[in-house]
Amino acid sequence: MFIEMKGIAKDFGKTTVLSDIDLTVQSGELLALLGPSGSGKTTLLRMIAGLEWPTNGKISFQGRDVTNISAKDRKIGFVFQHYALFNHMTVAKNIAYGLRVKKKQERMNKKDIAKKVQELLALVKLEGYDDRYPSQLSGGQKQRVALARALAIEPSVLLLDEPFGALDAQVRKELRHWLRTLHKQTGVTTVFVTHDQEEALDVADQVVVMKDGQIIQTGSPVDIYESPNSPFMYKFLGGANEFKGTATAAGVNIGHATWPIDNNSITAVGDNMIGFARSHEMELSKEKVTNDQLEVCISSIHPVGPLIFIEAIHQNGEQEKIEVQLSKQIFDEMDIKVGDRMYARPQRLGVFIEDFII
Amino acid sequence: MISTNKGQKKVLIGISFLFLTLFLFLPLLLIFIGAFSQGFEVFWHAITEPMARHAIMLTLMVVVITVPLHALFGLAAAWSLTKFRFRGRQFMITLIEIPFSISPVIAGLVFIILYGVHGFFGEWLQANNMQIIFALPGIVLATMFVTLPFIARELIPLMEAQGSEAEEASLTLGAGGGRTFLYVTLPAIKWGLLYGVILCSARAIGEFGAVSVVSGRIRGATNTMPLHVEILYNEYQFAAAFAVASLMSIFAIVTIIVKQFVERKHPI
Repeated sequence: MFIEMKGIAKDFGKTTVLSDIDLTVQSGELLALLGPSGSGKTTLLRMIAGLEWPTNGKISFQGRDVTNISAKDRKIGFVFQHYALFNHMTVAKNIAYGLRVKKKQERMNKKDIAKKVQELLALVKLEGYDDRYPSQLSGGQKQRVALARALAIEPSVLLLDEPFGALDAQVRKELRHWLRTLHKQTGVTTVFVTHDQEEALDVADQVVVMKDGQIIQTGSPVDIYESPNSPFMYKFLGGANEFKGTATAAGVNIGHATWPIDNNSITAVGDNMIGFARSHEMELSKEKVTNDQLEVCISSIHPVGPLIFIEAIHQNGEQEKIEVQLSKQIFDEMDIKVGDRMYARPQRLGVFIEDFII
Repeated sequence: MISTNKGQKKVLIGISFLFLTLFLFLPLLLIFIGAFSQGFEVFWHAITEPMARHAIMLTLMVVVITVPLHALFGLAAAWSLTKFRFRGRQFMITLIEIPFSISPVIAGLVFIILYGVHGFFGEWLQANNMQIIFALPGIVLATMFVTLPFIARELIPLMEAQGSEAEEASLTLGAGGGRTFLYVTLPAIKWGLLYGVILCSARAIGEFGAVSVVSGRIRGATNTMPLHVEILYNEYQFAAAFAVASLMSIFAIVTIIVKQFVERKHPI
């Protein structure tokens, strides 16, 4: 189902939670709302569900205005972070709930409901758990029951609020792959909220990054990762080395090195610039060959499995730390030791004017 | 235990036990001894004579009216105070607890001032031939005032802890408010509700102060069990007074046993 949100704003008393949000969810898409806590992502999701009302703006499903339609009539599936299962009902009763509370003329007969429950149990791989109570299930199993319960009413959109947030890392990883498979199988339009960038990039077709009640960047996981559009995005998506410099005609001047930038339309000569390069986007070499290399001193070496994390200090007025990530193979070939004097250069650099505030 | 040794433990348990014996077990035992001090026949007569029977029936009537109303009020109050956030919410929670801190006698007097013959609504009530004070409505009102917090107080923390996610889940699954309450909320709080009902009933049976102010103690008309006990006592009919008191104690003990059972089976 095609969802459109236009000019959405939400105030709780004097605090603004969302301001001027435009968001489109394509039919059949798996979209992630990603952001730090307090960014308004959950409020936005609850608005799609009809559990929260916008102060301003319009929500439409498939072109039909649903802004004032209650959650009861929106036909959405909602999965909560803490499962929200009905603890006094068995797994089967939980899953059947949405089917049993339908109006009499729309309700399936008991046999069909039972059959549907079995299908859903199979879908979430919990065959034989019909008569268990939620308290007898693990976190991962509970969340799968919650998913089956939401899918029972054949929702036109599935909404998940930090669905794996309460689970441990192992189960989390399993479930998110399983969610992707499930999405492929069912094809139902899905929106999920997460604060875990890895989860969003791993699972979603489309990622919407939010901060302070606004959308910062929208794009495919590759877009989002490869071309962050602001310093915030670099910092939020796992961190990066930060370089401060000045814009020149040739590019950006940092220490004694000059790095070319491709997008010079954003700068004027003399602007204070800030550049970002991720640790695995850094190169080290023993000799200075080009003038885009920054002289550094290796201060620590920290091997983690096949990767080597290196910290290097760069003297630029004050000391600045640079993190470099190398594969074990390259590291061994280069024979790097603590205290070595080396030259670092970024393969890619994201550059912004320093007072660029977002 | 952080630093208590065995000796200290024994002393503390001993003190608690002594205290409970002196102030609880002993008086309770004396009630029953007093009740049967002049034989079973006197006991039986004391609790079956017409005036006593009337007092018992009146008390039960008050309980039957008060407790269901408070169950409804408690549910409504707990529902609105825990599932919604609004201005003055905290104030309302405090307000519900006021009867705990106000002397029951004052509660009784308030109703006299409001509904008594010379009271605020007195003339209007008289003109319309309605009597609240010195009649059943007054007794019910006074009892309701005193027992108001019991059920709501039991439900508010429980529903607060449960949050409203289950209700929201029910809503998104297509159930309306009524079905959600019946299928989701009520089953989740039923033991807490029962617990509150038990406490509320016990208090309603035993209420003396507020009721004594508004009832007028008309024997065979507005005399509840606790009032009846006091009258008998003042008339030096000690055995009879203790007999009715022992009946009330039995109510109380049964309540405690039921409460224990509920608690053990379904810890809140």
